[in-house]
Amino acid sequence: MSAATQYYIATILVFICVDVIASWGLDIQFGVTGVLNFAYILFQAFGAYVAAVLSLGSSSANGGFQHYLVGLTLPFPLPILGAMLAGAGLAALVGLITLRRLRSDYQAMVMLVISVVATIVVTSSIGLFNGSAGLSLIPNPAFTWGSFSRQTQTWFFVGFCVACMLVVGLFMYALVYSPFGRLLRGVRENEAGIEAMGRSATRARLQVFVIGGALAALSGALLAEFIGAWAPSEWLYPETFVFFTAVIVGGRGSVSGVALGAALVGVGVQQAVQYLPIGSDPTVLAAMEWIITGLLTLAFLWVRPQGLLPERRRRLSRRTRPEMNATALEKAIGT
Amino acid sequence: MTSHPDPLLVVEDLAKSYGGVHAVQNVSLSIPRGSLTGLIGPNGAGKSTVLGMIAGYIRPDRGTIELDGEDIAGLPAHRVARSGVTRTFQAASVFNRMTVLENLLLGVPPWKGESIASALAGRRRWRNQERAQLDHAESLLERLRLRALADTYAGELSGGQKRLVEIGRAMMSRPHLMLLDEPMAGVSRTLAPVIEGLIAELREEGMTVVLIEHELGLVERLCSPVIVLAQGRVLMQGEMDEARADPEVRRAYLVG
Repeated sequence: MSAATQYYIATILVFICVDVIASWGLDIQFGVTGVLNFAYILFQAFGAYVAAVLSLGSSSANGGFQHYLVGLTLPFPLPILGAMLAGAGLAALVGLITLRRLRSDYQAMVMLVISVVATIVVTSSIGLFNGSAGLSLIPNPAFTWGSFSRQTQTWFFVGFCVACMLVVGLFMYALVYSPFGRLLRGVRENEAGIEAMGRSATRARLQVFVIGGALAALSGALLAEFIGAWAPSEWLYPETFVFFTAVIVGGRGSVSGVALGAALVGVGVQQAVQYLPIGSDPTVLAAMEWIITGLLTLAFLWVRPQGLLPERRRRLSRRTRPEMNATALEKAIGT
Repeated sequence: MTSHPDPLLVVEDLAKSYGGVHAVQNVSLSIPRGSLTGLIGPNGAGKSTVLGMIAGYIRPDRGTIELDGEDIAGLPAHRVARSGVTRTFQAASVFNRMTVLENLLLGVPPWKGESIASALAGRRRWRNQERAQLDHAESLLERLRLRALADTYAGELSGGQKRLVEIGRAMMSRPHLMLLDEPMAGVSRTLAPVIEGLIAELREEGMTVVLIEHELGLVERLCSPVIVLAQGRVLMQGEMDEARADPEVRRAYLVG
């Protein structure tokens, strides 16, 4: 396999892992608990920036061509863990402000505004994360793993991303299929009802906000370390809707469904448009991606709102029903 | 006003206004322990507002609400619920895309197994306790005659069945005080007697219940005492036949 093909496959795999992790983070918020976080991309972006500034070293490095806060050279995996912590922290902060007092439809509006404002702030204050030019030369930690070729090290990083995705997947299953997950679905289905049962809906929303914030940040950290650069153009507010589409197409509240949706929408659509007979103008292709993503959301909300792999019904009753006994009996005696 | 020796809930001087409109003013009432108290009155009398304030869904402007001597006025709804007050809603508020059994499981008082930590620690941490809850919930479903629907989404049930699930969920929480806001609303004629029977059973079992209800025949059959509200004030607290005889009450119903 040529080096270019290998790099192409590695890139696709990393993008899938990143999109799946990010979509799961949104799913625990939106799919399971019903929180409309229209600022979701912000947490991925923040994770990417934090991982970058924790590994780039002082901002005077490389002739000081880019300006940013902090500037440390922490060893792997500290920049990633730091990013997750920062994502969780930012989520806690935003959540405490927006989730406590406002009704959920207004929460959604405020999130959207926060997302837009954040882009403006980061773009216009150079000292934060180097403004609109963004950060580059973000080191890939795998490039320090042993004295292998870059190609091999790239595959190491792919392996690390897959491992992260699997761990997050187990984490998601444990949360969603537990009494805690039941409480979250209760908040989604009926806020007043869950409060009447002595549970605080606000507390549950804050919890998933922080969990989702950490997962989004993890995905951002992996992405930035892989591509080596991160700028405001990567995380404009519409990017959030790619993840919403992934969750809706895959199946709200379904862990496996959302993974499928993320792979199809996050990566699949982007790859598929290249094969459409519309030429290869990148502007047209990018526009086509947005059109297809938007149409997918609409189509699924109309035709199959439960998604490709719908949330499973939890069958908890353990005594077999009489009519089922009868069927089993009929089968047994062959009538 | 009739005074009762051992009230579970004492409300004093409760008031709530919305932009100058006095929805509830100077409401004082007491709910005797173990009673099934009817809260009646014409439309707009403030019944649901009073119930909402007791349950913590509406913040009172003024007044105290004492449950067993403890002031719960102004606490958020989930805190009031934790102190033992469980309510149902005018429009049955089941968890639609969750099964009947799951709806009942969410009725159990908040427990340790429901935390993030216990979810991550794995099934073994919560499975046994959940099994006990399931046993309890399934025997309750038997009583509610909903056994066959245990694994059905609550959103797919009829109005009356949803109501049964909602009351069942409230029973799972073993409250000290149950507030039922028009439990017959949206219930078919076949299920109405079942729900009435269930409420009567709760009374026999010694549960303290406050019932908001429009159908006065039902109130007469079930409730003692009754509290009559009109235009945000308490008109009288006493027995239903006293209420029927009270000229002020009659006028309120005619005017309201």
